[in-house]
Amino acid sequence: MRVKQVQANETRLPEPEAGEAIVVSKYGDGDDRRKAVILHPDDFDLFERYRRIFAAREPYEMRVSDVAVVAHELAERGGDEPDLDLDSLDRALR
Amino acid sequence: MGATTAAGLRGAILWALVGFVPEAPFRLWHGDKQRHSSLPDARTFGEQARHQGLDAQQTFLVEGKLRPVVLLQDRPRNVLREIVALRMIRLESLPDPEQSSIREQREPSLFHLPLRESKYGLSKEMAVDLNALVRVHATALLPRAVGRLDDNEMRVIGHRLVQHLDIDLEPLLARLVDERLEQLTSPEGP
Repeated sequence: MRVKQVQANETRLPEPEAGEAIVVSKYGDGDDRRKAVILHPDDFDLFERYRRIFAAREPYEMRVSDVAVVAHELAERGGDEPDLDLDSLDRALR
Repeated sequence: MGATTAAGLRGAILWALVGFVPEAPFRLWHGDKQRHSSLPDARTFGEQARHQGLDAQQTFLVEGKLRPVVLLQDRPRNVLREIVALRMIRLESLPDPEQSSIREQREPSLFHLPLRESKYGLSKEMAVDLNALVRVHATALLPRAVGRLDDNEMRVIGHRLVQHLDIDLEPLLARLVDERLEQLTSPEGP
């Protein structure tokens, strides 16, 4: 990725905390269209490190959503089916 | 093989005993009259195997659960007794926004199965978890398939699974394209 340096006194930017991404939306488009994403330098370093490690072949885990992780963890611990689906189980035992 | 389904196992939804993946701390079972022991991590296990004579093969105490799964493979010869499957998750166990996201097909990792008892054989709305590949032994399957995913659904799951498993299909696709081009351009024609 090409990195462009800008002096802090030449621009006004919000200051993201580590672990936070600030998405700047295009004016008048609500939050649908992104213009820029501002990251904390530590997160940018992490992103660059991932890019160097994985190059063009990004592991799919990088794209797994929060919802997928929540659902997966829940089932991994057996918490997704507190009661048995008895009708279905009866069919399986017929 | 206990499971029966006239159309084959691939795509079939069956109830199965699915063991959880062992994770640290590892609990080891040493027999009926012995107390089980616990090892804090895989490194300790390795060190004890290397230096203290711990047998590399142990009986692990892991939980398992009876649950529906989608089978991904057929086993017409019955010689390979383990079958790869995908675990499912019940939607009602998730918060409403997560449920909506799955229903609206915004979650590539969670393939939505709407409530269609005649097709899927389940009386709960479910999602197939593409991140939850499991191997199930033939003897751990209940006898009858309760439902089935159709060919289109299995094709979508297959495409997504290639991505989820980080499988690089580019060389294979390039070879197939080359072979096809060669066929098309050969004097004998396709």
